[in-house]
Amino acid sequence: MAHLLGEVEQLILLSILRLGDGAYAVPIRDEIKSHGGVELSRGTIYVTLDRLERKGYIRSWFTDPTPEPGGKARRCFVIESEGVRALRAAHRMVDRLRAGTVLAPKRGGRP
Amino acid sequence: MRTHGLESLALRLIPRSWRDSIARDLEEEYQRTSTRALQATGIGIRLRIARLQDSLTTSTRAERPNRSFFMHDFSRDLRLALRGIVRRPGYSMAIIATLALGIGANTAIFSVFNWILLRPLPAVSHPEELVTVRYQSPKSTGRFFIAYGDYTDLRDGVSGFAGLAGSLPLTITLGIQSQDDGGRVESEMVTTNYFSVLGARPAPGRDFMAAEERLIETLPPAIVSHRLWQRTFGGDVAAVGREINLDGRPFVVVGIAPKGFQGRSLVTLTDVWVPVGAHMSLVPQYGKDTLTSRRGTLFGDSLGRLKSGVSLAQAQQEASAAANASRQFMARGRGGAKSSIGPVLSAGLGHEAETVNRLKGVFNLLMGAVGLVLLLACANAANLLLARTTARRREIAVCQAIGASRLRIIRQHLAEGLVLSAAAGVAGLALAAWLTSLFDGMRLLTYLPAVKGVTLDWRVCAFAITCSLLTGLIFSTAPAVAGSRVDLQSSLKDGVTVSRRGRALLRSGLVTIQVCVSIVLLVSAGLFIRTLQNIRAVDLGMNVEGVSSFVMDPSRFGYSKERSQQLLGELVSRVSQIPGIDATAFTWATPFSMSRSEMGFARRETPKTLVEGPSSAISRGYFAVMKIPLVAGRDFTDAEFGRLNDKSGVIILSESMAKELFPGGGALGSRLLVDYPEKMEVEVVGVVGDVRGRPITAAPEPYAYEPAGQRWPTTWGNIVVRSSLPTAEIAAAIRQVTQSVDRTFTPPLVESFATTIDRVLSEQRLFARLSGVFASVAALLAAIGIYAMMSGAVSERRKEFGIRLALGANGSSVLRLVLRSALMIAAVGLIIGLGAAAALRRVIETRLYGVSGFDPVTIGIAALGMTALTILASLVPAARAARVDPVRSLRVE
Repeated sequence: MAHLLGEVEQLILLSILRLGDGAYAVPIRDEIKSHGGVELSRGTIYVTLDRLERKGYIRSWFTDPTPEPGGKARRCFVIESEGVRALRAAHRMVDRLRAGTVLAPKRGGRP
Repeated sequence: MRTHGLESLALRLIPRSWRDSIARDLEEEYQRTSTRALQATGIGIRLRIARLQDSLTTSTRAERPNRSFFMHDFSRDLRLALRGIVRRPGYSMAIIATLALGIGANTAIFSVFNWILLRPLPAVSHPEELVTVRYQSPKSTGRFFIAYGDYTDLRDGVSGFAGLAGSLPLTITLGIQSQDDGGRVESEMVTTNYFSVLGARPAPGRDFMAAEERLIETLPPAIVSHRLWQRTFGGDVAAVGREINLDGRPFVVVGIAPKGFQGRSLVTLTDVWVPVGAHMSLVPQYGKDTLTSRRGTLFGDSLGRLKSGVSLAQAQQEASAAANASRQFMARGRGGAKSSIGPVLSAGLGHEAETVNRLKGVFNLLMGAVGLVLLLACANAANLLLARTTARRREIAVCQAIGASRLRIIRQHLAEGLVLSAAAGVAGLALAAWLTSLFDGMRLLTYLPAVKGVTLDWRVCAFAITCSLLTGLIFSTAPAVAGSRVDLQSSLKDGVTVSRRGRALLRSGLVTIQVCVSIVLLVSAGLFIRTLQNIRAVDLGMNVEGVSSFVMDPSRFGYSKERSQQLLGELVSRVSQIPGIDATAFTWATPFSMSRSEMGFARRETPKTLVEGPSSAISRGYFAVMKIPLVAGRDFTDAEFGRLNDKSGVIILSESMAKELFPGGGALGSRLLVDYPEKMEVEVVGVVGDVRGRPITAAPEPYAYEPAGQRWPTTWGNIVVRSSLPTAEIAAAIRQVTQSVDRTFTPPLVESFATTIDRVLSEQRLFARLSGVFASVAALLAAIGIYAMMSGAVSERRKEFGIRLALGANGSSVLRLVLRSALMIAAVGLIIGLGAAAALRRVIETRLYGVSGFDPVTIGIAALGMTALTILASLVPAARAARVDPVRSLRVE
């Protein structure tokens, strides 16, 4: 059984999947914001990306620096098969748990 | 895009392990955010910010397609310069402060004169269309007031004028509640079109009406200034219609002049205007019709507004033609010498040409002096800059080694100089604002009003900008060129201190200039101070210490001529009874008063040879009050006064007058012919010493004294009193006396002769003071320059001193060595400076008195002072040289 994926981890992995090769922090954050409606802080994104890489779910590399004095390299990410598997497992688990449940508040419950 | 400024600073806060991986992302977000912010602002601002940002963040030429090569390089130069300046705050502040001092002083002097001479007449529309009309005869440079009849001739005869108005300035006493509670104010008696010609509409209230040009028998109208309205009526609209007293006569306020309006003059703040028709109330001595009908009585200044498209020359032509066409134009009254006198138009209002010329002379001289101070500041700054380029030799060598051209390095230096001078310009402007505030309320020269509310307008700012740009170029050029000449090999080697001969020469050259400039300023300050001393020490031929005078003019208060004369006599005797007053006398003119009356005499034997000279009608005891020595004969006796209808009289001559009339002596007892106003014979009963008057520096004029009331009734004049009491006390007592004689009398302005002399000498005092200040600043700057040069030289020659000391020289010989080199440079500066002072002496010689433009004593003192200053300034570096530790100085390499 793989590690359980956290909510933020799932969101970031899904964004990388959507963005394809060469995804980096700025569009990832934009993707989550525009499709998920959640604005994550930059710090959260970077910390999570680091964790995901440590777990082996994603891989990162640096592009060539921009051709100017003081130009900087960009860190890009791509999802590993391990990551895809973890994501699938997490979704399956949710699906299983959800099966046969009605997503509505219970009647007669406390107001 | 590169990160820049704040953003890169923010990046530093992020741990290094992270920084690299996220920097690029942050940059992108920064760009995005700022673009969004830009879109939210207006398009113009957006463009500007974008361009600025572009220039700040891009650096390769390829990225900037539409920027000229020059601009690009220039902005980079500026950026580099700014960085260099910020990196060395102490050094930069020293240069900025030095230059700011020079620029500030220049701007301050300029702004005061700008205020006096150049600013437009306040609250007057299109002042450039205005012209002044006066009389001028080809023989004299003076321009005279014009008569009322001539004014109307010109008004009606010159079609080039959109309007011509007349004005007679009068100083009067204003009363709001009582006779004189408003104090003395400046007023103008004007033609009724005055305000419309100047383009100012009185409001609230009304302008004068055309009917008020003719004699007003009822309550005459007056228009008061906005200033006076605010001050005395609190800006209450009900002031219109109020009655006020002018010289004790009732007037009614009919209007308030526009805010800021001060009449036709820049130098006089006029507060009250009355129409010509009210002349019987203010100048009754002219008589009912004299002022407006008799051509011989001068009315005042005429000021015209030219129609658009009419040039001054065209109007002048028309005016001359109109004057020629007029049968009665002023000139005809004077023996038909028509061609000799005519109306002269001059552009602008505000100042008489004479005052302007006089002021321009003062201005040029002061600007010259203060300009020298700036030059000195430039030399100082250049020296500092030079010291820094020496320190930066390696940096420059590296630049050259990797391919920077020499031009590129010179440009870099110039950019640094310009940035420094721009900063100094800003600081100088602030300094100037402060300095001019010191002048506020001060009367720089007696013929000017007190400086008030000097503003730094666009002219002053333009001056300061030009000043600082020029300064920047001047002070940074030499160091820039010198700094770009770098010997790559030696400079790149660490620790090698090569004494660069060329640069040392340049530096001592700069110090030479400083010494030279300060010696010029010191000498001129010395000359001005000695001039003032000499004038003060001049033997006036009288002793006016403790003497005060005041003018009384009963005829202005409606008294007849005979009664006026009587009243003056009464006043003299009543004033003399005031306790504490030692002596009192009457004189028509004092030696310092502006009014003159020329008297022509001839000896009986040679009735055709006329000798003319100023004269005054005096009372008995005048010579005693003024302590003018009686050389021969006697004073007048009581019986000799007021003998108006006698065909014979008496006279007292001054020594020089007696000498002129009777070169062989024997003046006493001789009879002289006088033919004005009627032929009469006068006997010389006394000879008195010569006295000096205005100007004090002129040789005493031949003078004649006659008893008051001998040739005509004396209706007004000065009363002089001698007392040991303070002037204020005497003034109060005198005021009581005059009020007891007639309540409507204007309280007289009692002034001690000491004050009068101070007033007469205001120009000399201004020169002495300001040149003293300039010279001190110059000497201080020169001392700093010498100090900087010597300490630079000492640190460069450290090794040499070390060797000398190691080889057995003692401290004092090294000290002497350093001092000698400083003195050598100072000596060169001194010699050149003295040469310059000799060459420039023509400029100031006309303003000197009792001292030649090349006075050896003054020059000696200045040279000695400069030498002492040089020794003082180089003593510290010299002592440092003497204390060099040979072991350490030799180990450095």
